[in-house]
Amino acid sequence: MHAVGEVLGQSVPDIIAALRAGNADDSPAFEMVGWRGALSTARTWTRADLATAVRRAAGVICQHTQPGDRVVVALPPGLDFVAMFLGCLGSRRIAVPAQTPATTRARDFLQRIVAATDARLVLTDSSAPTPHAPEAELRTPAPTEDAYIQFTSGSTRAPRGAVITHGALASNLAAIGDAWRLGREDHGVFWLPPFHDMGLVGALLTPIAFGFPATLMHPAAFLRRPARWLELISARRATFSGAPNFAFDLCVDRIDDVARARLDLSSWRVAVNGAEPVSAATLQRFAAAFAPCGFPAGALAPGYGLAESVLFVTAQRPDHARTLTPDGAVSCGAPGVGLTVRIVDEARGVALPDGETGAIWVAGPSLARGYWAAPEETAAMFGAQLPEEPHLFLRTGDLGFLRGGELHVCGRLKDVIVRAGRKVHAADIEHAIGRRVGAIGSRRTAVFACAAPDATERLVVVHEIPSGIDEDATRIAIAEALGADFDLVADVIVCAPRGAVRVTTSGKVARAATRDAYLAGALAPHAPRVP
Amino acid sequence: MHTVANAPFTEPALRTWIRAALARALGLSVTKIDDEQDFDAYGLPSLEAVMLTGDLEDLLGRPVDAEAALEHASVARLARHLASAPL
Repeated sequence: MHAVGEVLGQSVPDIIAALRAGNADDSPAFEMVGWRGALSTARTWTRADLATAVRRAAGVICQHTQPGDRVVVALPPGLDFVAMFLGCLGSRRIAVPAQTPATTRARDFLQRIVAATDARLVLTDSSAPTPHAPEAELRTPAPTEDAYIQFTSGSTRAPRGAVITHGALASNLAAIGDAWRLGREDHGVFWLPPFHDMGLVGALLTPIAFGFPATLMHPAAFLRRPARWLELISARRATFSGAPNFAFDLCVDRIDDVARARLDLSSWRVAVNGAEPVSAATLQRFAAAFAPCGFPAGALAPGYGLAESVLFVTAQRPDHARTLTPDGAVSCGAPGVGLTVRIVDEARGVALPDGETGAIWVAGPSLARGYWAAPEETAAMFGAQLPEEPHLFLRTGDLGFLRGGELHVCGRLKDVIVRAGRKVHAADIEHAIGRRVGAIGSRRTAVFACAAPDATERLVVVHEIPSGIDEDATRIAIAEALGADFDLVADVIVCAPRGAVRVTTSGKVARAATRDAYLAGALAPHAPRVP
Repeated sequence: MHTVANAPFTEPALRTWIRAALARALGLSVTKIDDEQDFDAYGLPSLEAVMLTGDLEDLLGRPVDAEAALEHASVARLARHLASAPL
């Protein structure tokens, strides 16, 4: 077990101090694997190799920028990304992780964050340092200095970048290491993209901070053949790995019996499920499907976090006795060291007791300093206060409840429909509609509230319907589902072709984007105009 | 699905295959797919687009760029890209 002080002794400033002193050792740091049919090791770095690469990266960065400048790190997933990111932090430049500009969408997003941060340098694939690049002296940053700016992924609105200080990063890494008892005997396996908080902090910085090796593979390698993730865990005897909920479903759905028979997952000690809502059904399916491969169900560690708190807020610890509460809600565990979670009635501005559902607020030393160059949004999100509590809270925008000190997440605040003082989750209504009328094809439903011209709130249902299906009969069935299951009446029911319900990159219903499209009158051709 | 390495896939054959794969992913009838329409307009999640290129790799027996279906985001454009890409 780690004492907190010992963990803090391995924060990024200390890593940089160690790299600077040149006393990094020859223990393995990173392995990047490739898949051309079979698994192959593309590249390996010891901690000494990492130190050299970071000094070279800092050399390139220092040639083009001044301390305090923003440097966008838009390299593909891999070891050069790690070196360039740490090269920024070790030369007092502010790193801005971003997706490599391989697609039109990624190029657009990159342009927006370059403009938003007034970045001086954008590092892409071709800017990887050559062996002849001059090495730079690394500097040890102070805890109050900005380390990096984490942009949260691409909604239709202007991108928001959470500014993470070195102190916040060190504090969050300490909470991660303490929660899962991470140490030198561990081995990580990850395919997560490095420009998201989970891939950056969980997959890259956590292994460095706690001195264990990590084996990395490209996200596309996983998406194209999900078995590769578990095969890599099996081959490396990995103890620490994780991904968003959809990835666990993908493994159950797309790994066949032949591939399963070759897996030995008995080494997997901490299986983090985070970064999107955790489904009880997914946890149960995954545990059951891979129990014959030796997967220990107790390894499943649902967690809750967000970039505004670096990564981590709460998580279940290994060998946690119970994952589900009697009502099927998933426990995301207790807050990490130094973090405080309150459930708040935002209308009354008071904390709610155990078991009651409200807004999730977070306080602690790992909170971001705010959003980059956005003082009003920063004040609105990071400046929340509670009576008789001294510190400022972050309003996460998520909804949940505490039970026995453990957080259960219910959804996004704005996805709650309030009718006659009753709160109903949009996801629950969508699920009920799907059960009653959505049996044909993979139709999607989005339910949201939006303001009508007379300032009252309308309840809108957007339901995808294949052509040839009777629209009126479908509307009636939806109305019946709302009435029978929720005692609600929809103000508008839109039946529209496939594509009307907007989705996230992982296929989840994006209610805000669907609402925006509805209000813009963009749910053509069957959609009625905004009333 | 058949894997026939090095078989010559013509652009029309690729169109047919991609159209069928897209219809399957979306739960739509093949006749509802417009070859010129952007995948985005069908609400195809980008993760599914990456998975589609994995299946295309298996079909063609050669590497296909993971971002191909995001960059060439319609049945017609993806087929044209794959038919013209050097082996």
